[in-house]
Amino acid sequence: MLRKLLKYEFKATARIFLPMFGILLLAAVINRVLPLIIPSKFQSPMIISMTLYVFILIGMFVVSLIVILQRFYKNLLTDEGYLSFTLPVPQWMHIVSKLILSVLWMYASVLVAIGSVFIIAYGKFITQENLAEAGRAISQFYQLPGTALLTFEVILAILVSSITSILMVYAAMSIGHLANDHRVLVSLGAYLGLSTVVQIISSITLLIPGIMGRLDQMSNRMNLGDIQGLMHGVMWYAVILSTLYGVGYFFISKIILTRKLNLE
Amino acid sequence: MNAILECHDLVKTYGNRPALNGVNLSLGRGQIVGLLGPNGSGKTTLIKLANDLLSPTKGEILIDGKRPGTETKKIISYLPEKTYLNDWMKVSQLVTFFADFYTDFRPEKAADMLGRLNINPNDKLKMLSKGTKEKVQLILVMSREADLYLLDEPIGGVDPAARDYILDTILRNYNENATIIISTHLIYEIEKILDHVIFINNGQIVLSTSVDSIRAEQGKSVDGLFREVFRC
Repeated sequence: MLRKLLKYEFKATARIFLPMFGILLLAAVINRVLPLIIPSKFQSPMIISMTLYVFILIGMFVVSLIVILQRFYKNLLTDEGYLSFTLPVPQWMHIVSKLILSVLWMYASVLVAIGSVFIIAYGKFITQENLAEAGRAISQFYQLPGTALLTFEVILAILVSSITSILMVYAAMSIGHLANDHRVLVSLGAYLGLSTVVQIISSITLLIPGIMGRLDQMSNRMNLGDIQGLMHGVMWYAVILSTLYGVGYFFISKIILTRKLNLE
Repeated sequence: MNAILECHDLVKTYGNRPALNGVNLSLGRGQIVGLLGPNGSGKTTLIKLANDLLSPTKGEILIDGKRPGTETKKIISYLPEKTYLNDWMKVSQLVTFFADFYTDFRPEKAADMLGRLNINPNDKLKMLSKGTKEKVQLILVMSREADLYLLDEPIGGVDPAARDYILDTILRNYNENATIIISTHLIYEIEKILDHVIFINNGQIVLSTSVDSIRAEQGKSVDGLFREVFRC
């Protein structure tokens, strides 16, 4: 059943994301081709097309965010919820299917954005020499001990925190659903409330004996091993804390959608 | 056979306001039941509880002996009073959607009914009028071979000609083991197809009896009895 939900979630979102990606890549190609066909003494077409490209790029991320919010809100918490929640599917699967597609589209957007930059700049600002140099720098970096682990940790931290930030928005919308009216406003308030609570909890965990103490010690006598140890510590601290928040948000949403659902 | 729908001391309150106040009910299979009551009497709340769209405050509601959940959703076909279809799909895509999720859905039935009502399967929902959307919704709901149909105000928003078609559709598409519960306050229109009626008022069941017994024992029509019971 999760596969079916994912299929329809993909259909519902691809119809917005794919054309958007197409438009961004097209804008990039136009920026690439324009200097070839227009004599270089005319600057304004290039400036206009570059401005347009930047607007489309920013617009793409704004729209991505809106789609992520809107899929959860509209499909689950408005009249469409009457159908979604009477499908023979447990409530948590709706959350998970929307989360998976949101994360995938988020990263797809980033990849497409990078791709569009390459279309415009490859061979000009980004040359083969640049890339080779970057490659050499990267391989040098990986000759240092412990850097592969650190890379893994950074990737993991980015992945976990992106999942958690989406789940936080879901939790805020679910909490907003508990209100009898002004649900959007209450959702916004819930989001700010959750952010505050998370900050307080995170600050408190830093008071746990050992964590701050170690940081103080470190700052006194820094060598490479210490810095690495510190980095690993910080990364795992972030990953674990973020995972715990994410699990918390997931259960807030799940419990509200299961037991406190009250569609208008 | 066990009851398809049972309520034991079912209570649902919204904040302090009770919507259902100690409902006890048991409905058998193979009948068309009218859930009748004035606006705000608790009809929709009862139906939403049966669909797991609300959780009881107290007591319990059982569908085929089970609490509402994924298993009961497989055997309930629900028509809410809202338009719950998204607007970006085509009618044909919605048919596929229903067929994908409900194993008891019969696409050929849906195609037949859509054809009869001149609804083009390639139209997007966005292009359809509100009345046509409601018809599409009813067609999807009635194209399932469910054990329990819960129809919330199915004839409230449509013209009298469409009403007849809808009632006819309901009658033609259910098998003798299925139970249909129709909630409405337009009693006169549906009286002729009902086997059993439940009168509900202020969150409580006032009466639950067969239509034959109302006619035989009281010598009244359901509509007449309703007007008497709910006299303002």
